[in-house]
Amino acid sequence: MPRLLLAEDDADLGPTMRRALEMEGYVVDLVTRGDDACAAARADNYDVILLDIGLPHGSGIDVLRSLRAAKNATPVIIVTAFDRTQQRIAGLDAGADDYVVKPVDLDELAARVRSQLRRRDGRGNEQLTIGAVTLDFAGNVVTLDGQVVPLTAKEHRLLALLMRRARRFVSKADLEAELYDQDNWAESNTVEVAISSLRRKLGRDFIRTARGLGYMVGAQAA
Amino acid sequence: MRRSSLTTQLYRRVLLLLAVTGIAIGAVLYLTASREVSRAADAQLINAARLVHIMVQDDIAAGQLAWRDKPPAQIRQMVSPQEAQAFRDSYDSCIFLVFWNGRAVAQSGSGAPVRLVPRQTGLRTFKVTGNRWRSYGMRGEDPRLLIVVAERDALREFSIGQLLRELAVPMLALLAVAMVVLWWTLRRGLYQVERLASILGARSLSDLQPLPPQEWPRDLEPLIIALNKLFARLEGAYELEQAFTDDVAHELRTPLAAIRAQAQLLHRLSPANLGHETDRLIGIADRANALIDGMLTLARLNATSLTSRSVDVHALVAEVVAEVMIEQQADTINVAVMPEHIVRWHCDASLLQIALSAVIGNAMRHAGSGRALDIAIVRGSGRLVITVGDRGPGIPEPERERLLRRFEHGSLQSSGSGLGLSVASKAMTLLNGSIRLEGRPDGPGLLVILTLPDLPR
Repeated sequence: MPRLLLAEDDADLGPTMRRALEMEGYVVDLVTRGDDACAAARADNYDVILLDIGLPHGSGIDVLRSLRAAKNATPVIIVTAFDRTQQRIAGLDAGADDYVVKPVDLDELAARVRSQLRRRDGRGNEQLTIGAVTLDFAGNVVTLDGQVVPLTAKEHRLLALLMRRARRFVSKADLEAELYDQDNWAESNTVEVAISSLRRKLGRDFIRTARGLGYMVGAQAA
Repeated sequence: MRRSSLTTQLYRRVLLLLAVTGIAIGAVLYLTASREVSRAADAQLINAARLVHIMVQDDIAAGQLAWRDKPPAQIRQMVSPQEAQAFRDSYDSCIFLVFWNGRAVAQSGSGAPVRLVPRQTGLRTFKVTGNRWRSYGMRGEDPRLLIVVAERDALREFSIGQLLRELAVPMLALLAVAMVVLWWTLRRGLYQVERLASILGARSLSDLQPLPPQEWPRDLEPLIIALNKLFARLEGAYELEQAFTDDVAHELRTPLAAIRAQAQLLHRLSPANLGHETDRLIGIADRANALIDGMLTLARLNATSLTSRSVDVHALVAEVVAEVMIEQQADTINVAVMPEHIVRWHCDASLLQIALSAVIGNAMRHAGSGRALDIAIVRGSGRLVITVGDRGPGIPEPERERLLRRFEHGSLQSSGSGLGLSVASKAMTLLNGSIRLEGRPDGPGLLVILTLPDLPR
């Protein structure tokens, strides 16, 4: 069972987050001070650390720096109310693996923890998961809720491009270019045909579209 | 009132000084030169007298006593025509007279000057029909011999007017060259001031780095030091404001995060019939958070710096639409963007993104029954116009202006913070652009028109 360290000083938010994460099946240790977080992270082997920045007795950034200086490579997700770009950059530069701004959706937080666990297990580079759809690059297999979905080569290529650029629009021109070398003269509606087939197989709302912008996956909650 | 230019003022003063100095130097030169020339002329006169003395020497030796009773016509032969010619060759402008015992015994030429020449030794000045003449008289070894040489004093008649006439063209040319060179020199001299102005002008508002005083001339040091002090004070004020808004963000968001998390937990744990209530609670927390976001954005906009660069507005719109779609989970809205390709414009990307986020977020929330959102990016001459049209209920005309102002809610009940359009308005003002709200001519809905000017590069 994965063990999480949660460093959060707010007396209301901390226990609530712990409860929610425990419901996801994690073992959660809650600390409220920076120095305690440091000590706990050194004493125990956690799978993921959730770190607030505004902690008393050593800010989250200080904790993170001292962990990384001590060659502790545990994945760290910063969960903070500080939202300025410079603060995000400072957090990521200090060695954080992810940065979430409060108030954070509990489902999203759980998804981000899962993502860190996958990455730690070395599956991050071979697998992409968006919602219920997982693309395994190693086996070239796409699953929907764990069930293998058979895709044509074109569909697979389009889906891979969309998932690599998830949560952003991919223009029709880019999708056409992706198919170009495979199918020398792609028909003008090749992309549309493949997308509508993907939608049939993976769910209508899995691929969103906007005229003039292109297609996007990952718009739904993780 | 026209503001005076430092360069022009300095130029005028230096030019005046140059003129006064030039005139003074000219006057001194003129006086010195004329004294030297008249001294040289006097020396020449003395030499001429000596030449005459040599010419008459032999005749005097031959029979000076014999001449006593002879008429002057005979004595005149004392200077032969050859000798007179030799004298004229050497001293073209001089006349000479030789007196023996007070009587003229030899002379060159005739006329008024001859009659008026002073029969005195030494240098004399006399006048002949208004012209100044200069003479030199010398006695021979025999004191009865008096030789006088005279010459028109041309130099003293050389008037200043004539001098100026002759010098006018070269002097004016010299003056013109001096003026140009002076202007150029001054501009170069003030180059450091211009450099300071351009360096400060090119700085973004957030760049409060002190200027290194050692890189500037000593004269500018007080200015540089004063500027650095101002930078330091501004930096302090910015940091204070930044720390304050960060503090506010932290203090407001943390309890809100706790409320939201509690509500979500409650939703999971509560019996199914409470689902609606917990959803509403989450919605309320989200609305409060959106309000905090809006207020923080507005507060931070006041201390924002502009850094303009070439921005792909189409890509920016795509990014914002994606963000809003993800954030609002707006499943069924049909978004259409025109055109389908890159549109570049020179502006501050992050400010434009803030404005677009606010306007597109607002439009998505109010997309209405039509569930359609049309965005158009149009490059005009000297401006870029972005229109965002929804098919929602629209905003009655009297309320439009009020909605663009701070902290005011529209009458519509929704999850919006009510600050979206005022955030957009503020951002557009900082971009030197404008925002306009209009009804749609082809049915219900709101049209938001963002206009960006072409910035000078």
